[in-house]
Amino acid sequence: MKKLFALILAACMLLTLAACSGNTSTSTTAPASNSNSGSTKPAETAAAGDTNGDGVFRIGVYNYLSGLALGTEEDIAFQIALERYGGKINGEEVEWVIYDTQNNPSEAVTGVQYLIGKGCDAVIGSFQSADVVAAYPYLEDAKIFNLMSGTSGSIVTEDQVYSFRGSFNANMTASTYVQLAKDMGYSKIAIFYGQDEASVSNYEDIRPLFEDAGFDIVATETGSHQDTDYSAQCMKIVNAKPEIVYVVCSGAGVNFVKQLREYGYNGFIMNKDEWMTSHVDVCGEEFSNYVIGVVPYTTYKSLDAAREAGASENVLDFLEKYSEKSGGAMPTLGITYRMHDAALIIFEAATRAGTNHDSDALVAAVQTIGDLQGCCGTIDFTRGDREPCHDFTPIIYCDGGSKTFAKWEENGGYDAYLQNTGREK
Amino acid sequence: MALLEVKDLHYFYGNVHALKGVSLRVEQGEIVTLIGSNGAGKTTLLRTVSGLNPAKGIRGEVLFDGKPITGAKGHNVTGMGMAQVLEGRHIFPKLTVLENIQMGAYLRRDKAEIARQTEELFELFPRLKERERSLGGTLSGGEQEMLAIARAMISNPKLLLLDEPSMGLAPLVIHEIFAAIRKLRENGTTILLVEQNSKAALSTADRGYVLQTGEIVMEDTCENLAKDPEVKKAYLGG
Amino acid sequence: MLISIIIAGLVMGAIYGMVGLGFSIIFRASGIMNLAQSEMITLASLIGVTLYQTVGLSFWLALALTMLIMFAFGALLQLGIISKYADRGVAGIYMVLVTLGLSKMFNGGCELIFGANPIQFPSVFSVSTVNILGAFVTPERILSFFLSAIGMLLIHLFLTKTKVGIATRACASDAVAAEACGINVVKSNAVVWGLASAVAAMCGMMLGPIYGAAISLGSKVGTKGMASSVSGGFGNIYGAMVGGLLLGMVESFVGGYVNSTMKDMVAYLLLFLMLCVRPTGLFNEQSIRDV
Repeated sequence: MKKLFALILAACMLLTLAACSGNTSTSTTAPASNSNSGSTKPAETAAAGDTNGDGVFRIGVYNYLSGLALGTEEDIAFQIALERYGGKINGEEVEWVIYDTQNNPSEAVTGVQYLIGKGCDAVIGSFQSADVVAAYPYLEDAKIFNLMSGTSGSIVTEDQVYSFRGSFNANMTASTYVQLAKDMGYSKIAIFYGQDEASVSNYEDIRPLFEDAGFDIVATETGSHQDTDYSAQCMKIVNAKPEIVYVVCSGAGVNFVKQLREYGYNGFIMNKDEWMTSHVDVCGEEFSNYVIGVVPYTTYKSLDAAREAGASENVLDFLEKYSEKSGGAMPTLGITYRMHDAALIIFEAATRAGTNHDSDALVAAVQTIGDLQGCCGTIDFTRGDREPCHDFTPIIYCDGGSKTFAKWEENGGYDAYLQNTGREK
Repeated sequence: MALLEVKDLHYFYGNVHALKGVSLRVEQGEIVTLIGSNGAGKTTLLRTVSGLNPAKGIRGEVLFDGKPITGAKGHNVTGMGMAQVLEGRHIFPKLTVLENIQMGAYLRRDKAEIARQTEELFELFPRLKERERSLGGTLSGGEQEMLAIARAMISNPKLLLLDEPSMGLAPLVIHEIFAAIRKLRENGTTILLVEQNSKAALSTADRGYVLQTGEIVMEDTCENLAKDPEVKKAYLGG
Repeated sequence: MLISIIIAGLVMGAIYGMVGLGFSIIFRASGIMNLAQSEMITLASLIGVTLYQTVGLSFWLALALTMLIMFAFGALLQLGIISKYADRGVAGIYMVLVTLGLSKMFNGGCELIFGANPIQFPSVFSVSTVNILGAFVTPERILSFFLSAIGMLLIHLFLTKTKVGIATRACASDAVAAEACGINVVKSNAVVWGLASAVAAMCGMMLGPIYGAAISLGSKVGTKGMASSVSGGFGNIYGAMVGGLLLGMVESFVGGYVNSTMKDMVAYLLLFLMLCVRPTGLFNEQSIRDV
């Protein structure tokens, strides 16, 4: 009797294992424009992807969609980009093939193979750098022109031929932070960095920049983004009396920022990541004041808020179109801007190349793009660094919303800051 | 009507048949004793009657003050007026003497009366008064027995069950304890006394039962039992 | 910084003490190491934040209600599950495994109902920080300290001055004797578990505003709480409190003066040391026996 029971139990376990390991949900969303609903089996990796001439410009997208509003938002962003070219590229309709990586790099690999098998002419990659790192080699092998939407410095490498960045390189912002702190007249800085790889590498890049610029680094603390108690680190930083603090930690170090404020530091906090509404939800409005990020773009609650905040012409233009298409809504994720720019770059490259189906031609064409206007500003690939974005704006979160630092300062923000915090500078 | 009536009581520990049809009665005001050797089933009988043994092993009937209490839970039986001094005393070692007694009075609410009766019990057992605030575990064997009795008495029981009060005690202390037991009867408490020390038991009680391997084999007045040659040979050392 | 460190040490110490108290109460009364205690804290914080934020009750009402709900939950758990095993005389290690299984179930259940993301507790007070002798403290932390202190005092009074409280100690000592005294041992055990769960509820409501209600909340603090109560002598109520304060202070000082990242290790180091040097704990509680 016991043996039979044990056998049944073992059988159940095996069944469960088999069921779970299968590729359950390849949710391919259906955007407003054409798309393919995906099958559940990853197709064979096709050979070259540059002779697909079936009359359709097939663009594959592998991205982390589940649980985010990204699916809907990126669809609108793609449409806006397409409209700038009159709805067709080189006379062909655009067909989108979307694959959800579910925040899992191995899913990303499966997804990319699927997209290759579908005969995609170009691919837009995930905003998750881990997904991109896992997947781009397959696109390189298949010789397919692709744009990567992550921001980690490490995803652009020397051996790439077909892969370009479609978003921005977060490491390129480092010098902007240093310059900003210098311009504000500060010399004593405290740094907190997370233990995740991206944060550690950013810390190692930016620390010598601060030192070279003559800063006195009065305290350096570290911690894991999974921790919840930063009291020791906060106490030490507050005790060192820094004039400004730089934070780089996965998830914007939101718990750390909250506790740093709780322990009494009310000055500026330069945060490597964009300060989004989800972060404000955790920290509260008061603690979120005076958090500065250096990013090409940020999200706004409304068009008016965007105008007041001093958003760039390009961003305002995009937001107006977005609002029209979505019935008044605003994008909630900065990633949406990246998706727009990526699509834009593909369309521009294809238009310049005169063909949709030759990746080598697309690669040659994209490197001639020198001043395409996208959300991130002027898209310029002529510098040979495979990066589109080279200018960054400091953006400060204050009084319930994000504003460009320049505009905020113009409107007397700094004086208000001195008054509110009682700090000397 | 007897205060306690046990009718053809059987008890099973699993498959072990520990009590085999025991019948006895205790009248108001008496001291009845139950003697027998180790393993005869004396403690089983007391625990079954007072509800401390799991009910599922019971067959037969127990009537207390005319009401059937077979299978009732221990704390409910105590509430009906039956208190027990357990074999091996079982006082609460980490509670003080006063707290121990307080636990005995758990079901009562009349604080003033409880305090007065506690004082009375201290008069009966002066040594407890001295050790009022000491932890139960620090008391000597005899003191613990006194405490156990006091704890049982504070609940104002109609019937007091005493399980081997002399166990492990020195002769002088046993003498003291039994003197106290007699005093309790004088004050009107009915007592069922289970004892291995048959001599002390038979000289204190009125009537007695002899229990052997779960069965009652003899029933008589203690005077007669003490003279009986069988009893003398088996339990009184010839 | 010294003031900051001392205050942080006292606050966290008081909280660890309360957590350890929950473990000790159950161990004292039923001889079981209840590994589900941490998850009770998590569950309580999630229920609490739901009452406070979603339903919109005042913090105090939410606290009281959460404690009541958890009391009932703990009592029912004891009556429905724990006692069934204990009555059959199941040996120590298996009881611990039962509580371990329960803890996994609670964790999974919480994740199912509340989701894996931390839910932010809205601020309890309108002021975000308070300045004490030059150190900045959130009022929520100060509240936690006082709630813990009061909680510990109330439990001490309950266990020594009330009939029901003394009865729980009696039942822990000797269940049969307690039954003979007229104490309903079944009910008493349920009260003990209910009490420990109410303590967990208080911990959850104190920790929630400080760290946010998340499914990992209980386990982080639970281990440290257990370390405190073992340091003080497992099962000893006062030991749990003293052990907690000790752990809190040592952790705070190590974090502040030695190395911030070593903070978490302190709890485990302390536990290890105590077990090696004095396993019965500071208060010499003879509770270590073969499980």
